[in-house]
Amino acid sequence: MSIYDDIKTNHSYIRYKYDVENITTNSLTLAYSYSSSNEGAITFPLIGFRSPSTQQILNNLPQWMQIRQDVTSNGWKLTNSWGMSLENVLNNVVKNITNTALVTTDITYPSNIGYVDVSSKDLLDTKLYRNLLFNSGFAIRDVSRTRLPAGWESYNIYNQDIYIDYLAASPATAALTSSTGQLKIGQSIILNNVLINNLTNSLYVKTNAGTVDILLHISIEMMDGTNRVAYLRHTSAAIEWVRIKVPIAVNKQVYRINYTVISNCSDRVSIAAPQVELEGISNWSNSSNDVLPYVSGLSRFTSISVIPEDSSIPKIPLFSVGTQEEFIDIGIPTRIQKARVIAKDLAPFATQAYGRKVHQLAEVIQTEWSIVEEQVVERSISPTIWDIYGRYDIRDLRYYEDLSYGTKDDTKVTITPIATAIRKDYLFIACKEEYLGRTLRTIKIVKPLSTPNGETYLESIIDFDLGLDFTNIIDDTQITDEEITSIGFSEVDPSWLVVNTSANIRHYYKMYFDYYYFNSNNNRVYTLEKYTNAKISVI
Amino acid sequence: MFKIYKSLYNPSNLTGQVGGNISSSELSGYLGELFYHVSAPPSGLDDVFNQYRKVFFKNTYDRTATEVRVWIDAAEHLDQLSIANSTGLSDTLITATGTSELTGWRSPTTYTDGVILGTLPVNAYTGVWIRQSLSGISSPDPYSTFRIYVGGIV
Repeated sequence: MSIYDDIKTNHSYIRYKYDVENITTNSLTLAYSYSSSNEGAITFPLIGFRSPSTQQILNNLPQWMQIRQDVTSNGWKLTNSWGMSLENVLNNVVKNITNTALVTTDITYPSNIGYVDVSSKDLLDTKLYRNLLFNSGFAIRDVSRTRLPAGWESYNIYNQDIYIDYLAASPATAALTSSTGQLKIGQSIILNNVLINNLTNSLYVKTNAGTVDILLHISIEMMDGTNRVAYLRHTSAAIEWVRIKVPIAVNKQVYRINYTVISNCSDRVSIAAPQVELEGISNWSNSSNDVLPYVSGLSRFTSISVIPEDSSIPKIPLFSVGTQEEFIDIGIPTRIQKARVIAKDLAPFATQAYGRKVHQLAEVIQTEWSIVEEQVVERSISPTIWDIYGRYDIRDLRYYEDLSYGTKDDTKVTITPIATAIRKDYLFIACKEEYLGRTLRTIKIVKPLSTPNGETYLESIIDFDLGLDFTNIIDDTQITDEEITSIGFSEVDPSWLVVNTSANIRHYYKMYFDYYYFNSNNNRVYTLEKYTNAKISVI
Repeated sequence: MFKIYKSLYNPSNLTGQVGGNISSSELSGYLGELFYHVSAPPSGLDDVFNQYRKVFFKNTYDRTATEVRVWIDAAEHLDQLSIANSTGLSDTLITATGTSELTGWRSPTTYTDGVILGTLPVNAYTGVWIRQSLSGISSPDPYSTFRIYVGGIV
């Protein structure tokens, strides 16, 4: 017997229903802007220089005339417009004369060059530059201290673990990797006034992190001032590259597109081949602007890179040069690598004197570019010694916001020049650079010319991190205040740079010129360097 | 639909009072319409540069809207933005960068988490303050966007 046996039950059915009340929404995209108080306004690259030939021309005028006495007078500036051309002619004449004698000939020219033939019809067809983003292959470097590709802004520069990854077998030339999985970078492209119907934005990502959170964010500013925004959040891990896409129907005249990638992954993440293209999605392509800012011409191919047979050796991107003359004559390296072993005797090393100054009293003075009181100076070496004619700081030529190219006064970085050497019309300056708590020793390359309007800075075209860290004590023999004392180039092989330090240590660096020139008459890609145990990939 | 209006005082600089009652101008969202371009404090400093603006949400449907909420979506820099209910239809700040006595600043990104405006009868409106906080800025951003969302049961 159970205690529940006495319970009697009955029931009745109760019916009910429910509906879904949808939320009705409206939205508006708002735009704002801000600048940074530790950066000045952008100054566009300097054009021209104060030519010594100009003064020589004007020294034919009476001595009392202001045009002869004053380099800031309008007459002097007008004359300088053809004085600069005359100076270039003079330089070429001097070069040609010095090249007629074996002892004085310029040995920086390559004695032989490499080449590969391009036979693929697809590659030789008329190229379409579908990508609107600049430097989407990440091959063009920004200044060394940022470790970023040029034209890409990091919105959190204190996150210092982002770097261009040449080892990742990426869909583009190189990848951008964050070892902690945190990055926030973007690029803004000004189109001015372009009718866009459909826009497709894409990005390759690779991460196998436990937590994946990658946001691809696109905002578009129309010519009528209104904005459109779209985004995609990627949250799945994969050991291979995954392409994420954000299509947007625009159907308006567009002024500007902003492309931003935000990663908050818990571990290593790589991104590559960002692309913004009209209409539907296609294979990764480059932009027509994807050339080094200091060379001419278009990039004929999407990407050319050297892929070593040993996968532990980084890929080497090659950079297009538009003309044969520029290709053979180019004096700016693309890589400077420390070398442990010297294959041959490279001594002696030279820094060479360079330049001249013409006085209004017709005196011609030989000058050199040196370092005095932590500034680059142009000073006399003959007939009088060390009269200083100009003092200069150094500013880096870079791509800033909206891909504006120029220089800025930036209080986040302190650049202290230490030593100089001349090679092939360029001044190589060893610098101590302090940036966000880090100290780097870099080589910056500038044109040693008097600035056109008395500017007090020289523009660094490109720089290279020497990888010298004097803060760590190696052993008891290292002095605590070790610093670079001088730099020079081998007179036997001028592709070797030597850096001497106050600890009496000599560091050797090999300079590489990873450029290519495409000759459309024979469909041949010429390279200045010879790459052994490697393949050249053309896409 | 829900329409978004500027407040009566929405100066195109950092001086003069901000907020007040609803204006007759709808917000269109163009660059600099709401927040004035500023030079932000350098990175590494604790200084935070706050700028406040007030916008109104008006129910122009022909029915009462209930459970109306506001949230932020698609923000490029979500850490720079937060919103809060106004204390009254006509509340103001002396300047755009003045100290706000408002509390409850949040950065909701969903309807569920949104700032609650409650019930809005036909043609009723209410104000919401938007705060831009710039801190640790290391590089400029000439064009940054976010979407302000309003939703409710209509």
